Amino acid sequence: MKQWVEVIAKFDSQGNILPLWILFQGKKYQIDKIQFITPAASLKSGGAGLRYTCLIASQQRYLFLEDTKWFIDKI
Amino acid sequence: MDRIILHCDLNCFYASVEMLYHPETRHLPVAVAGNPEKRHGIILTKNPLAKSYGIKTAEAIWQAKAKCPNLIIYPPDYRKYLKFSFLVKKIFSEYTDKVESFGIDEAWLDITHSYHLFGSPYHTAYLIKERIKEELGITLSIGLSYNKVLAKLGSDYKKYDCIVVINRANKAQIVDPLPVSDLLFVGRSTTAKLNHFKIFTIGQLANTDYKFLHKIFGKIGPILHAYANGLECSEVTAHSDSELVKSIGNSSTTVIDMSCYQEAYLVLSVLSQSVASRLKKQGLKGICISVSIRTKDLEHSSFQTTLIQPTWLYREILTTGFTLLKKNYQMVKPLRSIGISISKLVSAHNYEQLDLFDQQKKEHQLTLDLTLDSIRQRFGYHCINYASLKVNQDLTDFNPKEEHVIFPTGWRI
Repeated sequence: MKQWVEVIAKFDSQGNILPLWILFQGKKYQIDKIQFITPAASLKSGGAGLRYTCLIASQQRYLFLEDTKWFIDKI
Repeated sequence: MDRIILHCDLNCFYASVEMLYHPETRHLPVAVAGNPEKRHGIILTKNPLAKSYGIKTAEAIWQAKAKCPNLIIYPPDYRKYLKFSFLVKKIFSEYTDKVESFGIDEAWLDITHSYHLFGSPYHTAYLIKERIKEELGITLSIGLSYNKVLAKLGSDYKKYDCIVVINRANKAQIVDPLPVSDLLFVGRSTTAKLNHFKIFTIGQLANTDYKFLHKIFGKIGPILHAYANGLECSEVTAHSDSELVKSIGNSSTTVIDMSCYQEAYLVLSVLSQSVASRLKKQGLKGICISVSIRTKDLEHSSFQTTLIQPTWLYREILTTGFTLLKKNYQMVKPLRSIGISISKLVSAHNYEQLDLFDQQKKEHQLTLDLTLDSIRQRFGYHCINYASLKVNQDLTDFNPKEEHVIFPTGWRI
């Protein structure tokens, strides 16, 4: 199943959207760093959108923005 | 110098998109099929695995299920497919401004003047293919050649995530042994006719005297001869021109068959409203009206007529279409589907010859049409309609303008 998540994000003055926190299963995870932003498909979860490669607690995770909703890739 | 044309064909497009969104079905036979309750229950696309069971496009769901009981069937989600089609074409436009759509899932790209920015022509095709796979999760086949017809043959030659190059050196080896039916414009009846004259392959067609072909097929004969010889030379329409509309039409397969003129009139009425509304939205008028029908035995016919003046009025389109139907078809067999379209379009802002007698009537009709359109735009399609259409809602309860949005771009020479 695709794991939809809530996200707290920053909209900068250039119109870029930068996710800061992920809210998932009642917990709040801080995104320490965004390493890459690129359009990509998620073959694991199913879907396509803008893929943010994030460092969360020293672990790399893919966070996708698909239209107006966010999902994280399955591990 | 030869041009460099790519023909990009998204592999089993609808099924690929569905498989992307349902990763658990990626290794299972999958098909996308219309709604059987609305009698659109035919296979629209299938993945390679479903194809290996012998399932064919356009066959009924029950036939497909008989061949493969485990077939997974998804209803079509056109909004999603249009989104992917748009994204794919956005990627194409990063490689050239000459992109010509051929339906929702195919396009020609002329990269003659832009490939040097990306390396070789083959490398450009490879980059496009890999980017679409990476960014959108779907695959495509690319034909690379020096004209549009050969590029299309190339993309059909090897399916699923491939690039096929057809150049002057290997054309005879690749193209000539292919059956004539693989050639663009050669449909079932043309194939049968060619086969009748012992022309089975593209090579045989290429070696046939074009005067003979002209005698048999009329003006299309020499065109087919040129295609088979790799002499087709039409331009890839630039991206900015690709939205030029040649005709506007709508058709519908009704929930129940139309067994009398009255029922056909009701459906034509709904379709004509949509056509008239789309004409006005694009600021166009048309002069040639065509009606196409399909009987319950799937026999297809179409009729057309030319008006004295271009029109965009609902009532005029409907009346002309209905007269055309009555004149040409005696309702011997009930109708399964009906369509109406208008072509030879001109800008509605051109000068026009005013009608001495009916001008006021036309102005009233235009006001009525525009009022209806603006009410619908604000409150939704179903909030207002002609009372006459309430007579048989099984036939008239649909919105052709918004429910049917897949219109392949016509072939332009």
